Amino acid sequence: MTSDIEELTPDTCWELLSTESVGRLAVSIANQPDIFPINFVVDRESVVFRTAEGTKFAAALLGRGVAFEADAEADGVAWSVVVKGQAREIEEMYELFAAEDLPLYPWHSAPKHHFVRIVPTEVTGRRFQVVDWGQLPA
Amino acid sequence: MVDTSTQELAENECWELLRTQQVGRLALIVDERPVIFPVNFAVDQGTIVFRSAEGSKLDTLADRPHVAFEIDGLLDGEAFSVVVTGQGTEIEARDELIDALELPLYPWNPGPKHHFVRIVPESVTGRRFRVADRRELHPDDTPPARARPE
Repeated sequence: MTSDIEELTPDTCWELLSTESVGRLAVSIANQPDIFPINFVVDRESVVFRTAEGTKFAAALLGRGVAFEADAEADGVAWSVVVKGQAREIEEMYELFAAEDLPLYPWHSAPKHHFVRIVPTEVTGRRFQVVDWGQLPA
Repeated sequence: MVDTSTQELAENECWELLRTQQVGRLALIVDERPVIFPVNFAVDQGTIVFRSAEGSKLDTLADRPHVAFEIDGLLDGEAFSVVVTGQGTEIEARDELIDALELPLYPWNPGPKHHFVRIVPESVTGRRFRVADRRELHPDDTPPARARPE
């Protein structure tokens, strides 16, 4: 049983991301960091999510650099993936119709008017066997 | 119609939720860009303490101590999230480090963990809402109808 940390290929990162529906978006607002949990979906190696119009969130992220993270742990194995990129509102009509077909079901039912795509510049991920603290000497 | 109105949480509720989690995500600004990574953490008397091997990212804390820290989850059909913003400082004083080692802080990651960081909060906010059952929003199990151009 290995205790190494596996650095993941981008392909594996996208595969793992596809298994999650909640991630966290880190943005910079007036040079201060902030984090927002979001419902997302993977679309052709980019991350797509919906957001309400006119929110502080929308103002902070559109056209800016963002970092997105998702993680999970199951059966003693944990992984995390981070996507860095630019957040871009999906405005082209053909893209918008395609986005509406994505299986993107936000948990919150408030109206969400904008689709945003994170166009990635970097995708990294790690996977490892979770340390079993119960087995270490007291 | 399912009620998914968002409830803003009181600070004590936020801390209760923080105490139920072992993993959170830290965001900071490095080279003027946001970075984010998961950390194992513990609550320590109104502060958050985490261990990390992400030395190069944490080096920036000396100049840019502002951080944001987040947890989220699903509890009994209700989604919750808590965000703490504040100042992160590496714990360097020997007696403080010894105390930090006694926290119930069990890093999942097997790599070396050389940095203990304490986040002193400036704001603690949280939200909770009942998760919308997508079958209630889309009873035919199809995406919502939208006008097609002719």
